Amino acid sequence: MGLLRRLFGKDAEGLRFPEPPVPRSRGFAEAPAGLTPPSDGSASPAPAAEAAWPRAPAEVQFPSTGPHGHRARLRDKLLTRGPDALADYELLEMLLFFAMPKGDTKPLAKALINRFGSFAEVLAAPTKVLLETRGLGPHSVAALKLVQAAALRLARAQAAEKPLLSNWAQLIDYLTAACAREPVEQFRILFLDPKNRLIADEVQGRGTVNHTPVYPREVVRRALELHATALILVHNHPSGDTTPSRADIEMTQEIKEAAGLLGIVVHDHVIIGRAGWTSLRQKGLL
Amino acid sequence: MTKRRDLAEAQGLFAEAGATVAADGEAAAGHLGHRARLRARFLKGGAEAVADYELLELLLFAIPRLDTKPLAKALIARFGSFAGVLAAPPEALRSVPGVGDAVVVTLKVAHAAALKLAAAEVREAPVLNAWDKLVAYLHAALAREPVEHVRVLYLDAKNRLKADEAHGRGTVNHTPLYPREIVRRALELQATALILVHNHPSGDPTPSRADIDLTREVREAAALLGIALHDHVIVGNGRVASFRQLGLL
Repeated sequence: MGLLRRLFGKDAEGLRFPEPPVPRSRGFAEAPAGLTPPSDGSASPAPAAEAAWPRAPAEVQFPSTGPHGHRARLRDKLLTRGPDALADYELLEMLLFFAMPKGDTKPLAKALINRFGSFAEVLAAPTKVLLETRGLGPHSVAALKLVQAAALRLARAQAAEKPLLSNWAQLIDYLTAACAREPVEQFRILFLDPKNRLIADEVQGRGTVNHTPVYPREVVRRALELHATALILVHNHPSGDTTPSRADIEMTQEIKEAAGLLGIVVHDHVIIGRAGWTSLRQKGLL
Repeated sequence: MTKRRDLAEAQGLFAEAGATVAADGEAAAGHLGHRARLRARFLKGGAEAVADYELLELLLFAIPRLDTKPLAKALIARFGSFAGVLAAPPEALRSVPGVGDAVVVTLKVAHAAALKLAAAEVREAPVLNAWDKLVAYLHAALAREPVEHVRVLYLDAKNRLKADEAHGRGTVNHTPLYPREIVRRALELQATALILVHNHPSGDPTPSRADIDLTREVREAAALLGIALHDHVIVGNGRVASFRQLGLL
């Protein structure tokens, strides 16, 4: 258990972190718009003089009307509109790009779907049969088989190795292990998910903590990025005592307010030093 | 509908394709021997014969002049597994050094194709007879999402899947649900039954009070118009909760 646990004291051992608030709203609602009559006396402005026709081709929409840029267009469609925007044969075309750095894979994609019956049947066809299919070699067959492997893996659970920090004991265990490796002064933030599992543990600045600016806005931005619903602030004073300073308390309040606006809870701010631990929550300072 | 077209026609197309595309398969000599050997090991033994980072390497081989092994290992370290890398959003992928557009597109193509494959397995038979396949598809599609998504499966009179639509997305622990819109869409599609689906990013699929109450609302609204709500499935990490199996519907 170690020095830190013994120094800490028993008072807050039973302290549990509350669940983060779940938003109560059902979603945004728009107020129904009324009909506004046109204001008096305002005639619609006269239309601008028509530009001369035909327009000079200052910039055309399609730099090329041929097949050039087809691959780029498919890629853009995938990245901006998502996979549902692509037809089965288009996805198959893109899978075939893996093996064919140049060339039009559309005829092959369509022919494969014709031959095997459907997108799924192409991917599920036996490796031997695919390797014997004209137009397909080991690289493209491997790409097709990788998709099957991917589908199976996606259907499986993901290992959740992240530590659970829903009470003091777990937090102390985690920080003991983590801080033992970091003897220098630092400020770190633990980002937690709705089940108080640790998403990320990020050091904000090393060296002189008092001079490391911590911007509430940046902390909240990072929490949103990580989809965190709770935070624990930790700072480490290996040489000093652990009494929270005025600045520590104010900074914590600022972060708590900014985070609270977005449904993010600050569970605690823990100061660790040679003399032991101080928990701002336990001291009623949060 | 005939599923098999005239083979001669198909082969004619293959011959055409074979002529226009660059030779498939690289020279087995030199540094490319590693790639050929990994590919051969995979084609022979399947996914079980290679490590997660090697599966990723196989995908990344698509990108020329890329040192795939360190990048594959870095991606796995960051996202946990092959599946985790595929499901990661583009912005998160780009924050890994060495990941540019080419890598993002390659991964997203593989992810999209995998989801399409999983979905296709559900479409053939009546959905309720292929429960395992349905769960596999829903898990593949929703389990790793960082925010809540709602999907609605619209079924026909034979309980075959007519449509599978995203209804909305929310935040990490909440998403809005509009019974009115679900029923309107069911009428539009002439669906006679529905299955609601949403995910719990925390990984625990236990239905909340709000989940149960809203489900009842949807069931009642749909019943008014003769549409049955067969189930509400909540997707968690490696498991799902079925309202029907839990006796909540």
